[in-house]
Amino acid sequence: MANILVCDDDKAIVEAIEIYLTQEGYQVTRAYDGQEALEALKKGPVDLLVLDVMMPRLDGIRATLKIREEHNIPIIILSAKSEDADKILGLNVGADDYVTKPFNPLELVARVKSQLRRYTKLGSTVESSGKAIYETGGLMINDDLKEVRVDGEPVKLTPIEYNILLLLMKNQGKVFSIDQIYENIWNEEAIGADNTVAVHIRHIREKIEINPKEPRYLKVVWGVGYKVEKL
Amino acid sequence: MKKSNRWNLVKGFLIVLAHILAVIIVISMIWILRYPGAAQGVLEGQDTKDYQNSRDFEEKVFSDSVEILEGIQNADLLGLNGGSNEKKIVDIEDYAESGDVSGSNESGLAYYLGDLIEWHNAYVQGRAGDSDDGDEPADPIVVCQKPDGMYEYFYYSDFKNKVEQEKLVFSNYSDIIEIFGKLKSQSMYEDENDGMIQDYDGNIVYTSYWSYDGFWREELYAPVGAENILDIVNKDPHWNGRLTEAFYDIRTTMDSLGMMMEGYREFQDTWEEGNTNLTYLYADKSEGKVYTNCGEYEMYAGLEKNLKFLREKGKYVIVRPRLADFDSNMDGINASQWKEHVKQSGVGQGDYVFAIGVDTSYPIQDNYYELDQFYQQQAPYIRTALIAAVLSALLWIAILIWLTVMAGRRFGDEELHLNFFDRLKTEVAAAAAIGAWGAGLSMLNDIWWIYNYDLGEGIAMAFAASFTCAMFLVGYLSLVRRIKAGTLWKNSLILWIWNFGKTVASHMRCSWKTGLSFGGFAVLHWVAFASGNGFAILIAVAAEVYLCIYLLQRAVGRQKIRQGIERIAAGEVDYQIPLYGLKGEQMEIAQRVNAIGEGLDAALEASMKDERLKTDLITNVSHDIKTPLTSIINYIDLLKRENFTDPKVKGYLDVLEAKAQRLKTLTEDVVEASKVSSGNISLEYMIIDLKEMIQQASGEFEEKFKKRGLKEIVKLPDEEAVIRADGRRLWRVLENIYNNAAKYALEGTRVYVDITVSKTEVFFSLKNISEQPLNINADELTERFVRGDVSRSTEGSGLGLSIAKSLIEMQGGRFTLYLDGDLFRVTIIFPRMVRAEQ
Repeated sequence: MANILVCDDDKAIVEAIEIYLTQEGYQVTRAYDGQEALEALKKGPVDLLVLDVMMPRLDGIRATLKIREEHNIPIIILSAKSEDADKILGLNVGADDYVTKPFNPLELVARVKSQLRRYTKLGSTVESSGKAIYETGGLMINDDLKEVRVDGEPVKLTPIEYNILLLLMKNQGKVFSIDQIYENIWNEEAIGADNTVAVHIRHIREKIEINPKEPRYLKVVWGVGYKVEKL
Repeated sequence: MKKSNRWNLVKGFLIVLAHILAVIIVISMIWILRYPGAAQGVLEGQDTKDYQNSRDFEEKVFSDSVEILEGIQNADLLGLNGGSNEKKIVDIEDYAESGDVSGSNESGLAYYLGDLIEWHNAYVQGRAGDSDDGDEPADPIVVCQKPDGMYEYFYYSDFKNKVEQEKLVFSNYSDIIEIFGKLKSQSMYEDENDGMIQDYDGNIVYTSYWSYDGFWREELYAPVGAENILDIVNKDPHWNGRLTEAFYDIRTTMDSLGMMMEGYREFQDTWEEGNTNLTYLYADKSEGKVYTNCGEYEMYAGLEKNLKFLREKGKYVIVRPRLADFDSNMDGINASQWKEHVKQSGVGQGDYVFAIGVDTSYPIQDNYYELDQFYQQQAPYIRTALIAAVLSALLWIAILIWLTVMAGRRFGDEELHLNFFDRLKTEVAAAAAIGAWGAGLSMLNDIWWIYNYDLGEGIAMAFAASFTCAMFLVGYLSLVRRIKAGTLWKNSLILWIWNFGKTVASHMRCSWKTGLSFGGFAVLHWVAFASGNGFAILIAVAAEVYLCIYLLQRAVGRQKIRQGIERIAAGEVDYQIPLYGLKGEQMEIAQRVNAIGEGLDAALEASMKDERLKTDLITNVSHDIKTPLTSIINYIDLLKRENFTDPKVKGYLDVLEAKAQRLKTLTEDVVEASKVSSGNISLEYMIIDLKEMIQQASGEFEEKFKKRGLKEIVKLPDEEAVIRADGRRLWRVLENIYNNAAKYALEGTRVYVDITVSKTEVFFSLKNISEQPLNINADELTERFVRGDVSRSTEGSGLGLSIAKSLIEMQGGRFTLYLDGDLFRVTIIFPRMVRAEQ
């Protein structure tokens, strides 16, 4: 089973995270500051690191920079700092995900799972067997098989949802307005004042995203439309 | 003795010396100027101890000779030499015109010389009336005009007699008494009567008559060959009708001759033998006549012998027609000048001899004797006095220069010392010094003109001189000290008055100042242009130019201040109005505005700093809260997984979970609210279609609304509703509003979302019916964070609307809440954008 290093100066938090992760069958190593985390990394193999930012001795950001010199294991930063600037900083120094405190334990577990799946399986599963495969980050759509997978896990979508996601996946990074999506999927002219497309998008998000409110793949460009982020 | 004492002693000595020198100068000058004739000779290099050899002597002889020659001429004219000329005939017209006494009657009107002189004397003594003196004639003259236009004059008494004797008859009269009354009082005018005068036989002799009103002098002597002057003017055709002229000529002649006579009498008295040391002799060789004041020389026959005697007496001059015959023993005498002078006198015609001799032993105490005495007293010292005056003056000037340099200095320091007098106002001191100095000068002037000095006057003169000098030094040195100290102008009365005026002006109200200046300006112009005086107009024009410059300066200043105020008001609080070129009131205003600007700047900076501190504090505290909160939430969740069967425990855990969640929202919202209200966030603007956004929002909340049975009714316009905003922040606002609707709207009601557009604005509104009574006012909902009055409601932080409002306003929109009963309405208004590509 994967070994996860949890590092936070608050022992209660480390313990709680350990309980959740152990319940999911992971092995947990504890550390209470950046320095300890670095030492733990040296001692044994670690598959994923959950790292707090504000810690004594060595803080999370500097620890991440040091770890990235030698390791490419997934790092999830867990911080009370919820500003955009903090998140950008964390992701820029090499973290793979950023979770703000207080966090939903289930969400954290889901993110851990997702990161581990990508880290351990991604390379092998991508056997681009046909042209009709589109993927971004952990999200993959195989139009031949009409199959959608997130981090390798299949996701079930309705035909309309599938068609919308396919349209966006085919045009990654491009923003589609509601009317454009409607016209593409239903092949009729949009008459407006209808939230159908928006509702479908929300449903898709709920199915493919860990936290639909902070989507990783299917993003809302407010007042303009929707797009799938090219990761 | 200390050096400083010696220094003061020297200074005192020099001042005393200056006074002594002043006295010497004045006395010397007086000595010199007392006898200017002698002084002039000395100055011209003549050095003589004897009066008769001096230049002054020669000049005196010359000026005496002028008088003598005039006297001789007058005597000749009046015929006073050699017997009486009383019966000499003087032609009046001839004399009045040429001034000559020809001795014959040419014009018809002539008098005897003696009569004229007597008549003049009588007039002078008041025995003869004269119309110019305002005298009334006792017997006025009547003028009658003959039919042939000639005039006939009568004395009134004569005229009256003739009428009474009926030799003359008025042909037409009303009141004979009145006529005579008028004629007697000289008030009958030429046109007053139309009466003819007839003779006894009834022939018309005169066509008109009136009173004579021309010049008149009472007739005391009859003309040669006539009874009276009227005879002449009546009968002589040359004089007919010219009575006034005749009278004028008579007056001129008699007065001239009379005065000549008086002059001659005086001349005779002055130069009478025994009254003078001077002897004159004039011989007219053509007539063999001799004029002299010496009895011994009267005989023409002994002329040459007499001249020889005259030569022996002392100094002499003998002038003859030929320059070669000029003879004199006086030094530096000018022969041609003498000759010319004798010739011009009118006496020296033909062959003549004019001689003057002065007995230089001065046996008679006359003018010459006195001048000789005076000369001998004065002359020897004039040169000395002159040298003394010049040397004293030079020394005095030297002392003055030294005092000027030293004025205000004391020994041993570099400071300038002013005394009491120097601290008086310049004008006051000047008036005092000049007044005292002037008094000294006038004292000198009074004494100056006294000829013979005694000791007392000498002392007075010395006092006056030293006083004048002292006053001059006081005034002058004070002036020097003032100039050195720079107080001449600073301590002047004018400056003081000017400053006083300025103080008064600065305390005057602006309107008064403007009014007074304009009044002065207007009055200056009226006076200048009314008087038409070139100088006044020049001043008025100069005032106009000044006013123009002044007004322009003011306008520029006003513009500067205006600009400054506008910029500060527009938020540029660190702007400072440039003070250069501003004056007086405007300077003051500009400085105050700058001070206000600085104050605002400081206040704004302080408030911004405070806001930042507040935000930082809140952010830090929220971080500190979040860490334990994380554990609380996590362990509540872990507890819930323990599968407690007791419903009580389950209930407690639910409460804990809800409250922990609320705490989480609260910490997040407080941070956001503080950032938003302090403006401490950056916005990413983009072009947003509000219609699209509403559809998106609607999709997001579809489920939540459905859960509570709310029906959303969206109304979108046909036009585009495009605005410029930060999409994520705007979503934060809409999310908040929709969340509110989803949470608080009465179950099963409709939620209305409307978008409308006007030309310039886009309106969004959301209406719902509240489940709970809205017993709160709109401001309380939106101003919570600002007021620090944080909500105590059951769910959420209560800061949502406050954050929403701040966010909208930051993006340039307007956010209003409307609460009416259970109706809750949010309105957001943004300026409308028009997409370029459309």
